[in-house]
Amino acid sequence: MLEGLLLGFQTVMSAQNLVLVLAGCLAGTIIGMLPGLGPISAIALMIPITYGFDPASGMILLAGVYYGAIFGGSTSSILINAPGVAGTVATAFDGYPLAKSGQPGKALAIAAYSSFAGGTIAAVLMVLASPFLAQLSLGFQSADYFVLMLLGLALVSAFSPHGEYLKALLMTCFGLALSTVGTDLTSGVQRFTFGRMDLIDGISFLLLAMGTFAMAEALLMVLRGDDTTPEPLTGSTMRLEREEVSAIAPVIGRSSILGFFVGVLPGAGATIASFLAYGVEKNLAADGDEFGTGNVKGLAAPETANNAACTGSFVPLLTLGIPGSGTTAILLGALIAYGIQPGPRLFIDQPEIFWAVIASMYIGNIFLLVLNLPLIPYIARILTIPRTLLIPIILFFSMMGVYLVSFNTFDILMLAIVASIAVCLRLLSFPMAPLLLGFILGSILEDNLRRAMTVADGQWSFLWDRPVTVCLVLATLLVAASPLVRWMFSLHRGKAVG
Amino acid sequence: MLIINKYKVGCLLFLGFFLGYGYFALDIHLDFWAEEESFHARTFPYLIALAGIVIALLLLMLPGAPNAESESSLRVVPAALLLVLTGCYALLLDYFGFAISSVLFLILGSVTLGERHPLKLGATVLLVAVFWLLMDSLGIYLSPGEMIGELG
Repeated sequence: MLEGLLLGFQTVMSAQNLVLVLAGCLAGTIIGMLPGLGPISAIALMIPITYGFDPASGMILLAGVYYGAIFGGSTSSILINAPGVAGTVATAFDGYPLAKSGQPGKALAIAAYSSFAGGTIAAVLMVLASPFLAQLSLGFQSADYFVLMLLGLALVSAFSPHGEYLKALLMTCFGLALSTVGTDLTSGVQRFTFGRMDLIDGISFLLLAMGTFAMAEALLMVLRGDDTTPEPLTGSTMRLEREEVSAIAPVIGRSSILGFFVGVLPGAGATIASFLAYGVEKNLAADGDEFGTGNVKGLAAPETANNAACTGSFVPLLTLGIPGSGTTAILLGALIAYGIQPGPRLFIDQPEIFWAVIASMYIGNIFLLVLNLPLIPYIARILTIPRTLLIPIILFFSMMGVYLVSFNTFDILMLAIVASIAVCLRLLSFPMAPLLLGFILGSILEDNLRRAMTVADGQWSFLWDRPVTVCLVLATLLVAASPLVRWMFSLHRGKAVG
Repeated sequence: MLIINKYKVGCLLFLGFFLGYGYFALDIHLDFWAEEESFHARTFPYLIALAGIVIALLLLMLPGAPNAESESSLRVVPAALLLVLTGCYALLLDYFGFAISSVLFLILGSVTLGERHPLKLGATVLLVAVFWLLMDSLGIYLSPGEMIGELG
């Protein structure tokens, strides 16, 4: 393990990779700060740039963008009460009131220290957990992977907001359906191409990510009239008092561990981690009733947990090759585009990539703290760019991101169509992350199902042939049925009350 | 009773999509030996179509809060104009080239959203120039366009 970590640091410590970590953190912070643009949009916008680098460097850059975007989202939550991403909504509960009370510098400093501590503690936990999980999953067969992916998809749907379970499942199916467009790599047969040459290679995942997130977000800003330029709060010291440090230290410790484990669970992610940590600390604190009025503990808890969850979400991605969220799904797409298949073999065959990503998390967290903290008042000026200029710029970068991969103008037209459909679906509250997850997992899911069925002579008995598979099937059924049980329970309670 | 609202229409469209998807899955070409196999190019699409149809039907049948945004509060015209501009950009990019198309897109996009300040609009030229230089330094060639070729 220590050798691996040293290998990772050796890879990251090259001048080029250090610049990439720095650039990733900075770009992620700037993009994540813009309301509506979260880490998925930030990563999607940066992917075309990474094609010029080797896979390890590309992943280092994208990992930097990921936690930079989470940190940037916290900044807009604190300074203008407009979370750039769902994972930083809970940050605004106490961050904005604290900033409004004349202490924006202190609020930003607490957010930065908490993010740093959460990310670093989670990176240590990841170093301990990942090799163990990777070794364990080496014994997995196609049938186990197939069911494990179903479990991941079911978890993403089960963790979706109240009443959206079926919608999330439907969007997953929609994503799976879109993944079948193009040439079936095993049989060489064309599916759903309708004779169009442009569709033979299938729909690009980057196009789908840009269309459903970056471009759709920009169009939604226009549709909702959310294009007025806010005035961020400025000024005040960034120094923390000794009492404040001792008040947030235990909160950071607890929230890091909680955030990491929630992040490891497929589907849970930074949003649930931050709300859970906020709720736990509110209940534990003697001054819990002051939460929501600018309490430092109320700010530290979600900030620590969301960064720890981001790091935790890399564990299933790197060790099992299964993304647990929309953000890690797009990272999986990027890895596949580099010609790398994440999973337990990655840990053995390409340890430099596996460990470089982990090492880049340590370095990235240090960069975020050392550089972003003093620079944040200046970076925050990006929030003052008029939306009338910013929105066309986002659209321009979305189009360029897609065009620079294929140099085919048909892809720009497809992007506009995908974005229009995504906007309509988002207005009807259909979630987009399951769509992306279904799309990226589609071909891997089909491949594993094909192999499992071939091995089992075309029978579905592979689902109950081995104890591991049976456990995974039971877990999937349990997760899939849980919203139904909750719904029946609420109906029963409603009747009892009535 | 099934109440039809915008949300249910969305579910109905999904039902139509998955029915169509299943129908076109029947059209996927199979070689004669593949038809005998337990898993072929149609199997996965069949399963997806089946799951999609069942879930869409459940969404249509079950009562659920529509959660959709009110249409009257949406600013449809500028958003639609931006989409039209995107389409025009795609169609004109090869002829006008990267620089002219991009500057026009950014200026017209900003004007559509109400920007009238000449300096701010002029800044888009700088952005395109910097982007072009950056791509050039990364070895990515962006064509100046057929029009420039015709002129020169």
